[in-house]
Amino acid sequence: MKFTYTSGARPLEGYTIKRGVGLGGFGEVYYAVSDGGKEVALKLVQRNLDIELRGVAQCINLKHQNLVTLYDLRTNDVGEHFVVMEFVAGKSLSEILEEHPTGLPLDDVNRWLKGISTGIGYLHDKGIVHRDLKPGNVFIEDGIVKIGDYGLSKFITASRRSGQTESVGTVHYMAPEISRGKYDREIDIYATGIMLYEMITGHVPFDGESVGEILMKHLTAQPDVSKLPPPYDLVAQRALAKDPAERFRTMDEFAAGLNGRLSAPAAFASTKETTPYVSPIEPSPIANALGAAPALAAACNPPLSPPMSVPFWMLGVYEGMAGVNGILRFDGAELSLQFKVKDKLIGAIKSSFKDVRIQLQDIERIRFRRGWFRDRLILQRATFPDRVRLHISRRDRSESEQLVDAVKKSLAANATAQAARNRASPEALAGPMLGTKPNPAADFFRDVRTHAIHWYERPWSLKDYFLAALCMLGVAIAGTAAMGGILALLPGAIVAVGVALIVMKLTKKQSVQAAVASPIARPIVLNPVPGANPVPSSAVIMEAAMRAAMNTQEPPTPPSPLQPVRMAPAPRTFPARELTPKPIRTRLVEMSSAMLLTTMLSIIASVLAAGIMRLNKPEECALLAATCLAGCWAVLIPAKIWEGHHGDTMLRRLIMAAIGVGVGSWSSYLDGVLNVGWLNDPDTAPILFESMAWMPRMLADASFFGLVFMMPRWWLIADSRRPIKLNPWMIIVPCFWAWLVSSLWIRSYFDHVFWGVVVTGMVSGLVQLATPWEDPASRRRAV
Amino acid sequence: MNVISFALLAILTHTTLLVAPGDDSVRPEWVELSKHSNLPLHCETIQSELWATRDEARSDAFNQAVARAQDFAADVAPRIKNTWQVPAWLVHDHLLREPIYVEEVDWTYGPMYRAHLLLELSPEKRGVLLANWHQFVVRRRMGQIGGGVGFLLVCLATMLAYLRLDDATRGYYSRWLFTGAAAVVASSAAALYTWIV
Repeated sequence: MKFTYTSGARPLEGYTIKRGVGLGGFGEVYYAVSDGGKEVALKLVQRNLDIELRGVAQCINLKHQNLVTLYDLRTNDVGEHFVVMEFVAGKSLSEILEEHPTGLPLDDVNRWLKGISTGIGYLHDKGIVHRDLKPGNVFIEDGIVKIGDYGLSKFITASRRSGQTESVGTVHYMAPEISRGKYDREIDIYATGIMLYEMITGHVPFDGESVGEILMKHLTAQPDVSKLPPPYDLVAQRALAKDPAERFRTMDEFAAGLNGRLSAPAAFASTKETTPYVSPIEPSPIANALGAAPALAAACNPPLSPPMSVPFWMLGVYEGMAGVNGILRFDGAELSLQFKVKDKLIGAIKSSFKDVRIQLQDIERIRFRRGWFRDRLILQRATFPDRVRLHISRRDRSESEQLVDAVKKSLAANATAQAARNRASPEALAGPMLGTKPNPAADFFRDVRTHAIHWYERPWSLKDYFLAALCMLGVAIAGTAAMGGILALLPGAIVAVGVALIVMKLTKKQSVQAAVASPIARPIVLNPVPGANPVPSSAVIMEAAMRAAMNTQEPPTPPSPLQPVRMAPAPRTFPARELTPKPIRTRLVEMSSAMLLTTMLSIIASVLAAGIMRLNKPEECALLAATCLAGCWAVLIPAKIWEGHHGDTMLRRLIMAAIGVGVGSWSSYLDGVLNVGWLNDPDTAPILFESMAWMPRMLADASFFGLVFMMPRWWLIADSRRPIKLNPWMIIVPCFWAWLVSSLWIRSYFDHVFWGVVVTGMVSGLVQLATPWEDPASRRRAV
Repeated sequence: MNVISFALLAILTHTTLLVAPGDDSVRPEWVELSKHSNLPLHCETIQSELWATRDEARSDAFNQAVARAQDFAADVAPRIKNTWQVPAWLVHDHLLREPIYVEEVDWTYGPMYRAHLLLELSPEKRGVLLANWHQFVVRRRMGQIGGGVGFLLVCLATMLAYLRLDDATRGYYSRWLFTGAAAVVASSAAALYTWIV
């Protein structure tokens, strides 16, 4: 953080600055001491001057123990405006929350809520809305909660309830009606509800990658209050209602909703070692989705809103196993879906089917990626489920009803055929192709095909890779032994195809494949009640997110009261906050420290490798180290630039290939400069670059490293959120690829075929070792 | 006395260290053959000037041999002449075919000494010289590359330290830190330049 004034400065007559304590959206805050020795906080207002000064002027005479006292509003000689206010030495709620990533003890939550509700209630009684209530503006000092930052406070009168023009605040705590410019004190109740949720769970209910995404979640998504114990869940549910009229009317009502839990003044325990609240065992997703929602709706007071008027109608709920592809046919059109078991869900929608909307439960972020060959819609979940549920809706209700009827009939026929097949062969899994007729021969081949595809498509374990490698090895050995002449090439070709399939398997995680039928991904629930149970269109969210990504202005969509479908809780949860990119400064620090570390590791590893490879000359060892170091840095720099950002994979591969060409050129240049002479003719070696003898070597090196850097997604191995610190497969696979390239492509130019393989393996291993890694388990615990 | 003077000279010059006294009692055959240009193939003799002592004559002849070896190597690689000094031990170990012979010459004011040595300048010996030149060049380039990489590392470490310290001090000493970082980078760049140039 950088401050305008440093310690000892006297920008305002009578006050000496001691240190800066924070930066806000409106300016800088300093800890200062008056000439008389009074400790104060000086807030230098730099932005949104009118709003800030107006808010301060309105609040300057308020006195309450739960409010940070404002002393004065001053202007110095150069026209800078300072707010002189009480200095609170204690921690803010946001700092407390950082210390308790899994949430605060409920006793502490009650005490915080009591102070907040009392202070905000006082403000409301004075006709003032805080408008920027958030953990960073709530402090604790000597056990007393104090609310600060009146910068956004604003008078609300009956006549001014409509037509507010300022839409300001902090996005995670911003009530949905702020986007419409019509709001009242209910926005503070909404923000308090968010803080209640955050204090208990450790994270905000609505998070996302972009401001637009978070705002749209405020507008449309329902909070998962199942993580809160009663009666906090109902209080949060009501405080976070989309419609301001459904929220608590006053802070007193809010406090009363907690059944007197806020009336126990006692010391805070959050500074001690405490046990946070742990949510009870979650019910099953299906039970949540189908059964718990009505119960929750009934429990909420007031009742949830009537059905919305968004013109999308639910076609059905599609549930299937993760990791396989599924296909649904609606009246000849086609909807392709792909589920992933790991961290991504990718859906592809045919252009002829643009009016179909998909809603995923537990959506954490929705991204629209423009690819080279096709655009992709990427839906990323916060959870790693075994099963996924999709809500599919379509714009035209009447047509949807017809389609639903058709789908129902198809499902019924398919279920009958499925049952018959299962009886015949219990192990056989039937395909869900909708509208297909039973045909034994076709079924057999389809089953074989779908089993093969399913085996190939599902996430592979170590055993699968080992099995595949063993099969290929067997084919190669048997084929080579049995065949002669030109036929001896056949096993090699088979092995090459197998290798290509494995490499595709490893690298196609983000690619959208043509949908194929899967025996497991079958619709098991189809809810043909478009009129009675309309599903909010996530397309609204998607389009808003896309607009936000493209920085286009679009009027905010009116809030859509949602059908109270409880989101399926999952045992493994990653909030999208963790998926957001780190600040560039942080990545710069990580990158430079990793680059330093790889330097040392490269030298050590090169000495060891030189010993193993019996490289006797020191220049050979130096060449190995310098090439390895160049490779490490070539991976680290783009990886840290791209970390947290999602770009087109093909483009990144091409960039990595170009970087690889550079590394290869550097290597061959060093080879010539150091006169290693693995390729050089002894007669021309003395000339040292005076002939063109280095050209073949340079071309060979450049093409080798270009190909090696293009194929694996190198940038993933430097991501601090990678699944494991040192992934052996991310060493073996690039090494195998390097061996393949050096053997088949440029063998004639390499005296040391394994030299490139060694460099590749060293780069992969050292980068993984040197880059910081955040343990997923600790990240989960932090959630 | 002879040994003491040789030791003193060995301390003063590194070349004389290698020019150990030989048996000067018997005049070698190749000294006579050189007068008739009847030397073995690829061999040359080198004679020193007249010197008052044997060691001076021996050193003079050896220095001429080093210079000749450098010219011999530079015939195929002219850059050698300006960039490399043939090491004395290389001449002594590889090019000197026979021990140096020092003859006594009666002069008007007393005995003087002239040294003779037989130098082998064959293509094989040139290969040895060039190999050593390559080694010298490679090591120098390795040093330069190492210096460049070291400079990059210093820059990286400086940047890392600047960022961390700036964070730790919450931006209070940004200017000082930046000035210090710039000074470190500039001084290391100057040191690198001085070392390479």
